[in-house]
Amino acid sequence: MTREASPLDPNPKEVVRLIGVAKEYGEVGALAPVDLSVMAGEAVVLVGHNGSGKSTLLSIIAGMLEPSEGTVLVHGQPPDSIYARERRSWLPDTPVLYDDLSVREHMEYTIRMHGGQGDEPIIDDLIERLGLANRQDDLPSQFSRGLRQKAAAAVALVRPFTLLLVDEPFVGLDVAGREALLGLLEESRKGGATVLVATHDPAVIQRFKRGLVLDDGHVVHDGTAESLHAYLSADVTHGEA
Amino acid sequence: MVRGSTLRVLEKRISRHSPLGDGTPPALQRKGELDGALAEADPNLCAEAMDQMRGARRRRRIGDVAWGDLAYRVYTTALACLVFAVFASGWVGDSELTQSSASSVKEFGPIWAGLFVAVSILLGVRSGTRAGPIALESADVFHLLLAPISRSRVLRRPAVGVVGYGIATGVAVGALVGSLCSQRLPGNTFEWMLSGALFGGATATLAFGAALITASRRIARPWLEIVAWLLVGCSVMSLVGYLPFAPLSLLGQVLFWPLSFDALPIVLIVLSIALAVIGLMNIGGLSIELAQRRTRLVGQLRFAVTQQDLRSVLLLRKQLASERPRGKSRFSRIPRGFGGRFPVFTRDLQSIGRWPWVRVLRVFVLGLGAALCLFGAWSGTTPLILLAGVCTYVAALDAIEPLAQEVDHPMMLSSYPEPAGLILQRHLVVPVLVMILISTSGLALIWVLHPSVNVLAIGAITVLTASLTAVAGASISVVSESSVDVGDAAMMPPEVTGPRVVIRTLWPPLLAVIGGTPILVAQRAMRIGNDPIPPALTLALPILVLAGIVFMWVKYREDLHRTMSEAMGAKT
Repeated sequence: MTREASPLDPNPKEVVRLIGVAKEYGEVGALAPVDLSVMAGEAVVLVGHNGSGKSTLLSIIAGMLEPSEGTVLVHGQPPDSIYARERRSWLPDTPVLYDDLSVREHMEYTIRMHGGQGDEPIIDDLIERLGLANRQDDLPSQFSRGLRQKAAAAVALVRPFTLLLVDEPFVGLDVAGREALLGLLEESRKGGATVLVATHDPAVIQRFKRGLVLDDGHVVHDGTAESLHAYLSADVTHGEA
Repeated sequence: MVRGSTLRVLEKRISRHSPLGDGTPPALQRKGELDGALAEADPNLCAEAMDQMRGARRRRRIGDVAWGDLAYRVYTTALACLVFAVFASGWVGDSELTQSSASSVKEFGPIWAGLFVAVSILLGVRSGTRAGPIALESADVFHLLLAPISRSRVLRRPAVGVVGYGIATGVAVGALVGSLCSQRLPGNTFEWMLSGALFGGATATLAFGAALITASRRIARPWLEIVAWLLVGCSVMSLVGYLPFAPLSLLGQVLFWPLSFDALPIVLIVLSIALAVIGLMNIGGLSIELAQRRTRLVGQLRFAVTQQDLRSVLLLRKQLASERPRGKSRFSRIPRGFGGRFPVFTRDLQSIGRWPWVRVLRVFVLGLGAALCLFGAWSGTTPLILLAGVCTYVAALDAIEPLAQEVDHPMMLSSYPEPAGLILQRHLVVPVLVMILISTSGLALIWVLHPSVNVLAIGAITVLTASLTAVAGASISVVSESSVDVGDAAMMPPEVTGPRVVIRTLWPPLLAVIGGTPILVAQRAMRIGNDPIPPALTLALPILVLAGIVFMWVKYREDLHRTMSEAMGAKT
């Protein structure tokens, strides 16, 4: 007797699976029931106005928020499982760093807490690419917003991952930092990682092959970059009318 | 060159876990861990890295400690504890209780102590529902709880630290209580201190154990809350004589072991330790969402405390307790005409009507507590009047929320077509009515327990004075947080600023304490055989005048400040 396929059965190539995931804060609904599937190697951009649910959606996939209802799977596992935690990296919109560890120490300890040795060449590479070479031994508490964002990006990218979640990564970054981070995200995707980015930046949106539009917690559009562009243009025109 | 090497390194690291290679996910090896599947990286090595990071941070913190400052803080804390112990000792007195009083303590003491334990457990469970008692650093939540390390291992050390500190505090406070008991009850001081320390330690262990088990989410929270409320209910029923025995009275017996020793409570002490150990073992089930929220709020709360910003402390405390106002007011059917004629009164009524049930319950419990304390003071335990004042003051801080909201929005206040002081003063009406209602419920409780004309008459006088002074004290606390007063403080010499801070902190609750003093003069009059009502009335009059002065100060505060500033400007 063979078992019928369940919607919860993991697809080997499916990195993120959301089945009827909703989030409420008290009486306020932040995310309506969302069904979503993101395959390995996909680069997805989340677009929407403030309060549309982008950060909530990413935080749920990151395991930082618990859905009020529905099921979340990362590589077929619950998002708070060790399996998912080892494979998922999360760069939030507000950098979270220890005040008493330097940028380099952050990277070394992070890499070691994910099974590395702490002396990998990627540390120097990322420091160089993100323009942190002169500040690598300084404490993040002495940094500006942009530098803290760069440090947080370095910490998020230094560890191994197959899923990268990024929330408004370009806030406070200078042009060089922005380009460096965009390049790193692109390289991560080329390397086989799945990348989900929430942003308002139109220049960033066009670099992604798949786009999701959220509006008041609902996914109102899910399609290719071209269809996203057409959708956003129509939405702006409609808004102006 | 660098770009190419980064790409290669990234590709190599990503492909380590990528399911793209042969199309199959990495093999999962179940290890029976609560967290789920086994990570590919060696979990022990990952955890060791975490331990080394913590060690490095700890060494750095110790290296940064200013030992002179630390020694001074320890010295001042020890001195404050000593002063408190001496004062408490003076309040309690040193004359041994009569035989009948001692037997009453022996009978009811364990029940009261059991009630205290039950309330501590309830508070522990409530704290656990909000991811208490641990308050992690936000970076710990982000970097450690999201790392592939067993969460039990990540959380165990901070949890042990918090529980250990709590138990040590419980032991110290328990020993002090035991020492105070020894002054009036028969028995050796050392025995009393030992039993007090055991009781305090066991109570703290139970409370923290309950919090940890609730936070670990191994048992559904509603069940734990029901059990905690049942324990409180049993103790209350036992206290009023409706139940012959309450389970936690058994632990209460530990505090009174010098009066009569029974080995059975040792079972509860062992149980409390087991509960804490179970909680510590299962702490990995902590909700990361709640932990993150708690971390943020506790951080802000600590900062507000260091800034002596009472208003922020209260707001953050409510957020921490997830106290959200109701969407719809309970008084939504107020006629529009009434609202138009009395806008401030109506706005305040709607604010009170949006109180969540937990706040309604809290202010009534505080009112009943204050009434019981005042009755205790009436019966001869004078220091209880301080506790009564604190209870009414805290309840009034809740009742005065609409005024506080107005003070929080000075731009909106200044945009109204009426003087700001007048509007602030009008905001006092509803809080006074609320406090009178709460105090009257307390009086009703006391009258049910001891129905007599004197209780009713003295109680009615005290309801009025206590309600008005509590609101007066709370209004000083709330209104004097505003920019007018902060600006004044900046102009003052440092010699004045220190005492000003002390007075500003102590004066409002002291005012609330003054509201209960008619009870004391009535009791003195009764003791010498006089009618207690006239002296209570005589004292009530100046107290009412005092509250009236505060209410006028709320109205004319800004005018007074302006006049003083102009006078000082003219002088210079």
